This record gives sequence, structure tokens and C-alpha cells, in this order.
Amino acid sequence: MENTKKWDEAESIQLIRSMIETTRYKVYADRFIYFMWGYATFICASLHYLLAYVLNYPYAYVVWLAMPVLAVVHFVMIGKRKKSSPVSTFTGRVMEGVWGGMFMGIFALIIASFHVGWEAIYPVFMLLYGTACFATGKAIQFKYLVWGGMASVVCGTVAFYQPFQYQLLLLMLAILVSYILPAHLMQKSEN
Amino acid sequence: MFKDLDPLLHSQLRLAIVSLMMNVDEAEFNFIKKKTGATSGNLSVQLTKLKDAGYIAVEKSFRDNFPLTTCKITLKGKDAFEEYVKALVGYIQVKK
Repeated sequence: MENTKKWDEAESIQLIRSMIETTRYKVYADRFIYFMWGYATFICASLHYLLAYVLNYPYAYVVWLAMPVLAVVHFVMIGKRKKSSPVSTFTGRVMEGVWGGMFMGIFALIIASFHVGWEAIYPVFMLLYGTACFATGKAIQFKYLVWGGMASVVCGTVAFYQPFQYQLLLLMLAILVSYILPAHLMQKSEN
Repeated sequence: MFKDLDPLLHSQLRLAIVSLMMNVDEAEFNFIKKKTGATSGNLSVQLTKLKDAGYIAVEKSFRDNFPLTTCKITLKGKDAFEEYVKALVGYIQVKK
């Protein structure tokens, strides 16, 4: 970029706009994380349902042991990316806060589950997924995450009144609408 | 009466740098270089001018044994940018 070129006010505005655009947060860059968590949770919930209620396997819950492995992959990936990132932005900090808060909530719930039982915990998972997706969608103005977040909260609320078997089905639905579908709808050019 | 456009900001590269910095907490030298398309030498000169005017803060450190320059906009820089944009809008409205 030259520094001496003669230019006018309209070009100044155009330059400011283009510079702001280059630093805009693009959720598309995080699409893999939505796919990873979305599909992994969906598959685990489906397997849990199949093993527990179709095949009557008593230890169906073991499928969820895949989640801590995924969490390690996630944090290693995020840590590496953060270390090599040449810029830090306000939106980046907002995303860290929203999703970091959700992870803390989930971790606390997993500990609490030994005391209150899993039936009481799954609906809260859906509420947490929903609020994090809703907050992200609002912050970056991505309507599919907003709608998905709201739908996940509705699933969570309904799940409080359902037996565990149906809670699993509602979890699959919540994950489908709040993670998987929005991730498929993220476009490289727009988001 | 029109406000004069800040001569320090009414320069293509310096305005690009400050516009970038307005939207981030902090940015590395190479990031600014990539986004503005400037050469290292020119960018260094313009960053020094902005730093001397108190518009940006420059921090030099090391990462993995390599020198790392990180820039951050100051409150004075933010105020100057906002004033510059206000003045620009004034000029554009009169031209219409």
C-alpha cells in the first residue's frame, strides 16, 4: 500500500470499511468445531438409545466416554490456534467467554450428576447448548445459530418432563438444530 | 467551518493501520503487513510515526526465540480516529 498517493474522502471511508471487514470474526473458521461436537454428540446419543432401549445393553452409557477424548482434542486445537494467532479481537474474547462458560457449566453438571442423577442433567445440557448458540448467533448476527439456540432451549424445557429415553431423543434433536444444521449453513463468503 | 482532517491519519497506509487497530485488541506486525499489503520498511516507518504521535503503543518481545512486534491502539489514537471520521462525514455531506 502506497503512502503518498493523492486521494479523497470517499476513498478514506472505503479504506476504513475494507480494513474493518478484514478483521471481522468469521464463524465459518470455527465450522469444524461445530461439526465435531455436533456429530459426536449426535452419534453418542443415538448409540446410547440403540444400546439401552433396543438392545437392552446395561452399560450403554459407556459411549459417552468418547466425550473427554474429544474435549482433549478440542482444547489442544484451540490452544495451538490461539498461540499462533497474530491478532486478538473483542469478538474473539466474547466467543471465549460464551463457550468457556458453557464448558464450565457442563463440567460442573457432570460432577453434580453423581448426586442428582442423569435424568436431571440432560435437560440442563440442552439449555446450556442453546444459550451458548443463541448468544453466539446474536453476537455475530447469524440467524441459524439464534434459531437453533432457541430450539435447543425448548427441547431442554420439554425434556424436564420426559423419561430418560425421550430425553435422549430430544438431545439428538437439540444437537441437530443448534450445532449440525447451523454448521452446514455457514457460508465461507458471508460468515 | 470544516474541521481540518488530521494529516497524520489522512494518509492511506496510516489510516489503514489505525482502522485495523480500531477493530482489534492487539495485532502482530506481520498481521498488519498482510492486511495492508505494505512493505516491511514502509510499515515500520508509519508505525513509528503513529507511535511518536501517541496513537498506537508498540511492544517488542520474543516468541520461540524470534522477535515479535505487537501493536495496540491507544485512547488518544481512538479519539483521533473518531474525530477524523466525523470530519470525513462532514466533508462528504457537503459534497453531496
